[in-house]
Amino acid sequence: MLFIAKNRVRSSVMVIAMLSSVLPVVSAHAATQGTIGATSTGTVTINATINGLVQISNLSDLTFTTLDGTTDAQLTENVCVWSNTSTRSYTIRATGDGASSAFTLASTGHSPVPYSVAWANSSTATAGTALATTTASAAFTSTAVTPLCVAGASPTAKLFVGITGANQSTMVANAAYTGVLTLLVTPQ
Amino acid sequence: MAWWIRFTAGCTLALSGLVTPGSGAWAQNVQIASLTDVSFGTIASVAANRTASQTLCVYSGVTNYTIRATGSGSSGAFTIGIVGNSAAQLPYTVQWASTGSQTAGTQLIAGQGSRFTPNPLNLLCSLGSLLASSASLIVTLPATNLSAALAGNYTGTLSLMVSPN
Repeated sequence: MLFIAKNRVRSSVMVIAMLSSVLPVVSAHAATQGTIGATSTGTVTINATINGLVQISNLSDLTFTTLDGTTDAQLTENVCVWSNTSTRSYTIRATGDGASSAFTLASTGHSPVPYSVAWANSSTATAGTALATTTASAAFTSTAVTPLCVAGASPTAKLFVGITGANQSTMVANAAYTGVLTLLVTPQ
Repeated sequence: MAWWIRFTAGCTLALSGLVTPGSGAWAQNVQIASLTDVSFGTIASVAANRTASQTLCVYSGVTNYTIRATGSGSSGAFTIGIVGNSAAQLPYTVQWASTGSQTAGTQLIAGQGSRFTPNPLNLLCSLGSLLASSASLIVTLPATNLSAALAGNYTGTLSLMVSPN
């Protein structure tokens, strides 16, 4: 019987605001001044450029507590991703903190244990698209219309983290394994 | 000579507004001037309100004036939009103060007039009286509206009509 005390995957929140392809407005108009008279009217042009922005939220740490050393284990959590682009699209890039950014859990004096990461753009999904470390995913679409999913569907996506039974079998009992998973979201 | 005559008339009108209540057709005149375009630049965070204020000139030949602001949005709404995407509208608010250099004032409602009293030194705008006959226009993009807006370049026009009151 293999006992794993605390095998923990901590997911960190990373919010990245990326410039989209929009350019500053160059107004073709200029303010007009009113002339003196019975009434007087002036006009101003108002310009603003909003960058392509995204935000990922609702992340929390994941802890595997019932690994038996043989059965594949998976944890999920529902998260919120907001994108203000016209298509509400984004890509996600996951990065582990193992060697060469690998998705691994470390334990002092023991071999790292690989884990897998997948992503789905629905909180009701039962499976996700596997992510490769440091590689941006294909575009996903969010249903959130405001940051933090205040409006629109909340949550909008699901994170899957798994450890196969085979990898569990390499773990040392009662040793604490931990790692950090960074998720970078970019507007599309 | 003609220029001198017009200038003299302007001075007379200015003093009329300054010292005594106006009378006659000229005294009913008003003017809004020294307006400048409002540019919020590039917005990289939608978490906070964005406000732009400017000092401009308003002259009124009578005791009070009414300012009526109209946006270029649907039915005169205070909205700016993305060209080519009529669904992308960003509402803004407009405030007005009857003195210059203000960052807050009375909220204006699109298409509706609001009454104000001009500065005590109520001089013609053409006399370079910006400092004396000034008012403040404050335009704000609320964070709640920015958060709900799509990325892109927004533009629109705000029209300000002054009439004697």
